Amino acid sequence: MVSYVVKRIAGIIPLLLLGLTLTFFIMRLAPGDPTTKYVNPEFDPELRQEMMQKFGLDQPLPVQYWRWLTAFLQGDFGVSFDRAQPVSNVVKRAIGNTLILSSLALGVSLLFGVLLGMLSAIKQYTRFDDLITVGALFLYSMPGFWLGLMLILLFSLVLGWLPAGGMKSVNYDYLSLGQQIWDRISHLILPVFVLAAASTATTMRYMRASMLDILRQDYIRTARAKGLPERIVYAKHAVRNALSPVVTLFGLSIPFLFSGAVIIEIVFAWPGMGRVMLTSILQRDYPVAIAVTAIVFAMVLVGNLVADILYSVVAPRIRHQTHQAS
Amino acid sequence: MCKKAVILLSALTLIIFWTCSQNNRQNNVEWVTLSDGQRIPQGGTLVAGVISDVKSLNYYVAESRLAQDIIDLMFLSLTTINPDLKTFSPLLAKSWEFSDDRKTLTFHLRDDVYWWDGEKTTAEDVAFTHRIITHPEVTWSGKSWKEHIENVEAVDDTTVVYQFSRVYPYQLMDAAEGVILPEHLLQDVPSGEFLTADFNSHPVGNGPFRFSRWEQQQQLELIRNEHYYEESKPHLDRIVFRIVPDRTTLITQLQAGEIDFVEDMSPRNFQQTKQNFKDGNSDIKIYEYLGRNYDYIAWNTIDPDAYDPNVHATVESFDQIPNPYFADKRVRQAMTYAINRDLIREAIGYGLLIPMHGAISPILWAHDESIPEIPYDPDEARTLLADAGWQDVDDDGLLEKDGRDFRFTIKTNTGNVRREQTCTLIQDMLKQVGIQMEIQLLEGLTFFNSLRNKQFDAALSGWSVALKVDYAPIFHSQAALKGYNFTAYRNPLFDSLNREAAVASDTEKAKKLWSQVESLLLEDQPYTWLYYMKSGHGLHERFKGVRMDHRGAYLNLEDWWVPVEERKYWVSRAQL
Repeated sequence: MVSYVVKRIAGIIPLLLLGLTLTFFIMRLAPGDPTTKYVNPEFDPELRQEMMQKFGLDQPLPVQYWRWLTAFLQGDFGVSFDRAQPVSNVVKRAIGNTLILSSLALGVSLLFGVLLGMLSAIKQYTRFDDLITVGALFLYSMPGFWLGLMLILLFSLVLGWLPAGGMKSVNYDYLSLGQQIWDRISHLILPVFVLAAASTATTMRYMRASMLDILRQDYIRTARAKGLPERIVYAKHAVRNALSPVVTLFGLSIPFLFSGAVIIEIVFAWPGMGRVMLTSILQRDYPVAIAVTAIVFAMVLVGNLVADILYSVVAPRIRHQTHQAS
Repeated sequence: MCKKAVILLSALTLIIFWTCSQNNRQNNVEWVTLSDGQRIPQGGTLVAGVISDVKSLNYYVAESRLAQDIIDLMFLSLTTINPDLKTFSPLLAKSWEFSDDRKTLTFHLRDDVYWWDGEKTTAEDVAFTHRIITHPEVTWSGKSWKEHIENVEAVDDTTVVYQFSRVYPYQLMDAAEGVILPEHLLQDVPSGEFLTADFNSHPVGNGPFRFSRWEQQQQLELIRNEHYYEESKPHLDRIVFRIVPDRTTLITQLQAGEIDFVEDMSPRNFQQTKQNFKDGNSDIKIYEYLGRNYDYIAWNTIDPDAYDPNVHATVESFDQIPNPYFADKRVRQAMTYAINRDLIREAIGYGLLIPMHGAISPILWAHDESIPEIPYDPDEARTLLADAGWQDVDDDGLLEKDGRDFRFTIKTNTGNVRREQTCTLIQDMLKQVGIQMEIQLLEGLTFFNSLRNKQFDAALSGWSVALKVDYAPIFHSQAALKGYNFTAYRNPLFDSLNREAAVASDTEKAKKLWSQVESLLLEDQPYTWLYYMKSGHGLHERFKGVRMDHRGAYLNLEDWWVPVEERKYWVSRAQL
């Protein structure tokens, strides 16, 4: 097991470098550069050259690549052109905010997805099952930004129950501790719900299908035949095995934790990674764009690894196979 | 029975307590008397919603107009510009005078302005600011403002002298451009690190509002500077800028009362909000004035497919690669005749778009009302096109010349609904005179890049009006090589007329010359000027004493105040 993990991690590093190298060059293929935005009669065109020099963009591309690579390997992400501060500051701030939002959303979607999927499999073809299936399909097909806007209209403008966006209120610093906690929570409810909605639906459908599959297995019939109560049959024998596709899904969702949900973050004015990524690309802020890509890239690879490892933990059949193979 | 009494009693106590605390709040309010005798309360919070965060709180790094507005609240400039956009009023400088040869400008500073840390603002700060922002390693995007200033020297604490290399009409404007920075806090910052200095996120200024905190991409908070030189100002205690990147969410927050102020509403929201306020259904009052922006269509005079910047490196070489459609002046004129600009303004303007006849913006002193607008006249357009050789020979509804159909693509940036809709309307108008126009929407910087590299036949873009009246940066033939003359418009007469007008020091003479320039551009039509934009801002009506005009929305923020009974946020000054 350990040697398997080490091998996998060793395999990640060249992949990561290759991916970042590709990103580096693809970014430069996009028309324009960080100084293209200065279209302003009061901006002296000569100054563009000075700026390019200051950013190091006047060098040939291979030189730029080498400089970037050596700095990057030493953990130096450079300075953001667009925000006039070190890239690490920009990313650090955004990562925390995104993690709060996306880990809650992932947790919510797993919890409800598994629970509802299980229940609708157990109650297959009942009215409950139909309701859940239709509901899931509805949420799954709804574009997130639209759902978000509709909920904002309903809960902030019409009902006035929840804030329309941001992480906290204007008066946050002058509230009591209890009020501050509620303030934080109330700002999380809508974005977490919208972000979790679609993935809850997916998880639920996976869980339902997998559960139905398991319930047809012989050993479940055996468990029932030996007189175990239904509750034990489901909880002890069926669910654990039915979880394996969900675990894969979970592993694959890990990069999403960091990349954030670009559109949802913008609709709810949430200062996270999604916004950083979008503006850095639109502004040709190469150092930030590549740092964000690096994080997402690493997370995709790590997510896959985690999924594989979890898979072997949850589904004993896989574990046996890897042992036999090694 | 007993239980009921207890509940009643506690409810009563609560109510009394609540009213008391309300009274208490109101009793604690400080009142001041304005110069016109009006007594107004101090305190209150303004929450402004903005689409994007600022880059920096250093004027010379920040670049965006919003950032400059915010920085102007915290830092004083030497002077402040008057509504004519030509003359200036005192601010940090009490007075100023030119030497007889007009090459030396002397400012006399106020003696009572202090940085928040207690140091006095002196002439040394002014001289230092000039030194640092013109340093070769500092890439301030507005550097060209200072190019004719040779030297700035502090004579004593309150006197500073500007030496110019030449005499021209905008010497005072150039000298006064930008805020003054504190020398004692920035002198040790190496010029190479000016861009990323810690000062830029924790500034120390001397303006009416002082920096409180900046949570990037979330909110920026300013509080009242209690040591501002104008006593009892500002009246408001706190200004919060909330960053809300989505326009729909922004407007919803305004309507829900989470924010009080939104700049530059979309035409549709503008009209709705205006109507709602009139009907008494909304507390959001509209402030509107002539803004600084306009849209135009640029007609490329050279062929984008044949253009190679390495081969065509002189103005003369452009003559070898004429654009098959728009190199001919008659065609450009015909396009303007064929585009019904009244209809565009009515269809998508919602009252925010006004006519723009020619190159010179209506907010500028050089603008000439008497210059006629080119009317909408499709018949005239057809005649002009026929004169230029464009005729529908094969009767397919499309004009042809030398076997080539009149079919071109207009480019504009995606995400700008106004421009997208305008393109669609124009597409239909041109079809009626036998021209087929395709629309291509490009991502922002990709679009700018194709403008710069002249990779377009026609482009719908816009300009923000520069305060100096000078069309050389966008129409001078030399600016076609390196600059913003995207259409490669070339007319030696324009070049010389514009130069003459730009240096004329006598206003009346200059005005006449500018009218000639404008007429010439109208005749040549390098652009079709589509419309000029009004700014429409929404502000909660509880704010009083508000004055806004084309110079900006935060012009007199230090004068804004809120009646006590309408105050929304109760934060005592001790808590700030």
